[in-house]
Amino acid sequence: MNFETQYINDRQMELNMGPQHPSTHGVLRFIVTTDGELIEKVVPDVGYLHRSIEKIGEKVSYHGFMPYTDRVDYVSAMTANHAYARSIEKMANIEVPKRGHYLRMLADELCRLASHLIAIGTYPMDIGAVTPFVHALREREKINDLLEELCGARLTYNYMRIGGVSFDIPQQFVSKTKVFLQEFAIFLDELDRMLSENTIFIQRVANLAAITTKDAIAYGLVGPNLRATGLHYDLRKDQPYACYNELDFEVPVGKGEQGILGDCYDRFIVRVEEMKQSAKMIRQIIDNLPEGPIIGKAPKTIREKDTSSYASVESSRGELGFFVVANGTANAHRVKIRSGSFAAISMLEKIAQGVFIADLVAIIASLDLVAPEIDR
Amino acid sequence: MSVQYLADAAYREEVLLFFSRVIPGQVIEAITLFATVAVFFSLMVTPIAAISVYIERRLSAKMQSRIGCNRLGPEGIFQMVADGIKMISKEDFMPQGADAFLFKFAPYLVMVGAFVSFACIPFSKQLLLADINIGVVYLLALSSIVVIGIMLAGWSSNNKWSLLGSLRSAAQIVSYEIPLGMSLLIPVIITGSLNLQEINQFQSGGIHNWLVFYALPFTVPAFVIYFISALAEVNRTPFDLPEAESELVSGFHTEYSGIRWGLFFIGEYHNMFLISCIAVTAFLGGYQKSAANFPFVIVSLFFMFFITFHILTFLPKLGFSLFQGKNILDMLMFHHPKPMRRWLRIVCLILAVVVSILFYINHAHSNMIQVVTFISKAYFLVLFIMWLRWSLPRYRIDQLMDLCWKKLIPISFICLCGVLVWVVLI
Repeated sequence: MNFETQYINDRQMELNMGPQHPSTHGVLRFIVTTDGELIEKVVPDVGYLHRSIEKIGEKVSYHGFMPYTDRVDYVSAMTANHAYARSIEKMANIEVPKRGHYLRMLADELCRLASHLIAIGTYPMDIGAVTPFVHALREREKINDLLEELCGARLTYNYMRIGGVSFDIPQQFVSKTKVFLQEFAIFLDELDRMLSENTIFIQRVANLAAITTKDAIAYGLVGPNLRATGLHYDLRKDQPYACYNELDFEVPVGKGEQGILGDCYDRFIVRVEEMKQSAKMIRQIIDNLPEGPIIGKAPKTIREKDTSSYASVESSRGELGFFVVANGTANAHRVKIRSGSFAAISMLEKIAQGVFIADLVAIIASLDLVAPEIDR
Repeated sequence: MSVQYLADAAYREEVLLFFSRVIPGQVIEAITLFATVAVFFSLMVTPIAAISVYIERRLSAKMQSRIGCNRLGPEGIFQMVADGIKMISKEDFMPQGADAFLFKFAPYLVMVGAFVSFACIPFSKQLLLADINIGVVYLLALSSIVVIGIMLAGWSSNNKWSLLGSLRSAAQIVSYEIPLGMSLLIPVIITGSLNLQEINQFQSGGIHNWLVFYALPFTVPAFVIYFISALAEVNRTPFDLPEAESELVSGFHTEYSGIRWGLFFIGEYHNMFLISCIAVTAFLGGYQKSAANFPFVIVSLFFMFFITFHILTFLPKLGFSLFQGKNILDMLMFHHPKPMRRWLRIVCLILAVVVSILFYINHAHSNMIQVVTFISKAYFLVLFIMWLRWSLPRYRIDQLMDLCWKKLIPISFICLCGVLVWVVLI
């Protein structure tokens, strides 16, 4: 792709934002054409974090690909584990025991909390307030401690297996999680006082880069970004996987409280509300944890004749799906990953026109782009 | 001795008389002027940046549930020395295609603008470098020098981010000078003088004489407007657009490193202290005696004693380890002072209360006491600025301009007119 501008008149200036820039969330690059402070055009340039994960999926065994799925979206690695495991289980008809499902949901929701904490933490940091970010990371650290007790890792967990999960919960995990949830509720209160009701914050993000539901569907937007436009669509509710149909939770959608429906504020507040719902879910899961095995019977070498399967889960950034094609050997013929951030970044060119440079940073943060998930 | 020299006019005369027998008078005057300025800056003004940086680092750490710098020396107070050494010893880098002269010249302009403004700030009845009759005008004029430095820095860096930052800064500072000037006119109108010393003396006699309470419906908003526009003048959050880290990398000083960056940094902290000093002088009673100064003086003295005790307990250990032939850096880095004992804190507090009461009694006669009063109040405002910085997001450029032109300027104009009527009628 040729990024050289054809013609720049004497009012325009071309700015190269990234790959090394404080607020592009990883190695992302934007070629920005500006008129003074106003942005006329943004072209995202992806590919700086491409690690050929899909190709690696063709070279390693089905079981062996699991650690690589962590790296698809390292901010929310559990959900990527889950999506890949589901896809293979669907293809090979492997049963997962109920306790395995519950532990998966527990890990998923803890990881969603951690991921959303990064999202709503970096958001104010890009707008200029550093303190909420540090507070969010403090809470995320507690989740990392919990997950470390669960599976031994803090970032790339490799927790799930085809057929279930690798470890049962350790002793006192339940009580520690309960303590964490209590502290987390206090944090959410603080966050509301510090950010959600902050006049400057609302002035900055309300009415900014509103996305209509129609546009969002046309661009394939998923997850909190889609729900912020007011559409009630959540895989956990609409195509319940694991045991989500046994849990009692709501799907928060954008209401346009401070401005237009689907603006940056809605995308922020939807994530905050989702964290409250996740906390509620975790409480239900640890209260109703069933007894039984944690992993079902899965063959050591999975060989499936020319079939394919697609399964997806509601990741922190929306629908994360793995499309796996088998060809009779021990390895997959093709692995295709469908990720939420990739759809979101394609939307950027449309919604970031005629805004200020400061707004562009806010929009990028509000879409919760994570560079490894875009490039894979 | 040097403080006494600055403070005591009679003593100054005596010294001058002594030297004038040997050296011609003009030379003595030049030398004494130079010495006075040097002593003033090295004792009063230069440590401000270092202390402010240290306070800000510890304060932001507390606000963000971090620990902050606590390694180098007791409670990390030698961190500022380490920062200084680091800045000086870093490579002096200049980007390709930069305008060499302007690039090197710009930091000095910013720093000098901040430093020289302190000349007419009355720290006490006698501690004042230049008792000029147009002090307010002098301050407003010098605040414009800073913006020239920032513009030059942004332009000469040959970097688009720097350029954007400097243009933002120019628009911002020039706009906010209007409400700033208007709200500073109000003390001038009330006291009828542009001389900061006279403005200060007008406020003697207690808190009810402070200018911020002179004409309540107009002077309180004027003080708030002064504070907001001064924040914008010195590029502090929520108006730190020129150096918006997340947007413009670091704005006009993106390409600067080492001590040149350090000069911008020092300039920023001096400016912060300067606007607090002006606020204290023009609105909050300056160094004048009043019961309202008590809390400020007590708190600042408490911290002074606190840090002094820390250093006192630390020095023997340092000396002992030097005597043993240990590496001093190792000693500084790996010495973990125990947390202050509670009774020692209480002793600090009692000392602070006792000394501040003595200060109150002896206020009119002692120079240092007035200085402590003044600086403690100024630092209180500095802490307030830091508090704002670590809790608020940043404005956008158009909202910034809206705030200035649509809100602050009309309100400050109303305040100005209101005070005029008040002065005439009441």
